[in-house]
Amino acid sequence: MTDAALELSHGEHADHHDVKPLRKTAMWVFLGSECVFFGAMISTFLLYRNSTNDAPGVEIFDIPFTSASSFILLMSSLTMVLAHNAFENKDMRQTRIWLIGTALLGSTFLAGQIFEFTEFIHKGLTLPASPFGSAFYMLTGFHGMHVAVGVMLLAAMAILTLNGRLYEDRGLNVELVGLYWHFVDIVWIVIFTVVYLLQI
Amino acid sequence: MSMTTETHDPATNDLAATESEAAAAVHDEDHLDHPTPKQYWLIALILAVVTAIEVAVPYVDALRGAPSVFLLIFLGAVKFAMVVALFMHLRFDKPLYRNFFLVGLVGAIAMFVIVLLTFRAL
Repeated sequence: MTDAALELSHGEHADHHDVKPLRKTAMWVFLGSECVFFGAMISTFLLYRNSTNDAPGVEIFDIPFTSASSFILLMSSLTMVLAHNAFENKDMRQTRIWLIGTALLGSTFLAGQIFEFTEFIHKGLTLPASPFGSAFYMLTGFHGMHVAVGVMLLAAMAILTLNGRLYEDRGLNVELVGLYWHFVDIVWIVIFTVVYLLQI
Repeated sequence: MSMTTETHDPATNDLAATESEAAAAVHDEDHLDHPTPKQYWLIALILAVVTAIEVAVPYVDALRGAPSVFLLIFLGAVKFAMVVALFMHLRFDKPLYRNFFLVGLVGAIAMFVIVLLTFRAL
């Protein structure tokens, strides 16, 4: 091997090993900033939890229903980590199955949230009804938007496995989408505890 | 029948071997063994059980008030830590990732406490 070829080979090798951790680092920085974002939302909710202005408050929460939704989102973290595991083992069929499973569980959670919001609105808890309503819908709504983005990313990953265009070292791979998805799950763990369980 | 012969340059082979060992060492340092699928299922089962206990806690009269609050925060923290450490692999990855995440998490908790203390809501 000539010196130039050896250098090029080393350069490619270095690129392969340097760029992947860089993107993963960027994802962790992003997730750290998201902690602050949701921290602000949760603080706001706690500030206004008693400001109901005669509109419904925490008493309209349906804990058994939300518990089922929480369980579904928690189990989607399992399917996500199994998708990542299959991807690392280069098993594209299993990767696709678990990615689709995760997307379906995420969609079920979203459907539950839409149902819950509809019920609350029928009972008089709207966004402008009270500071409590505003804080509640902003917090859970933004979380729901994160879940929706995650479902779209998962669907895109599943389609890429069909085309054979899902690479470990390029683009937004299964590991990065997995990190995002697990983050959405841990945010819900906090929301479920602080907004629902601690208020009843 | 033609025979092809490959020439092996000992210096290049040594370099490749050293590079491979170095890459393996970095890999070992950065990625400890991840759990197996069976272990992931076990972790999920534990998370499900913790969630079931969480849901039951507010309905137990003996735990009304402060014990219920502390228990719920503790159980939520256990679930949070398990997902971050085991599903997000933070326990097995570079400390750098953990540090970036901790900066955000500590920042969020600090802001939470400051806001609630400022408005006397804590």
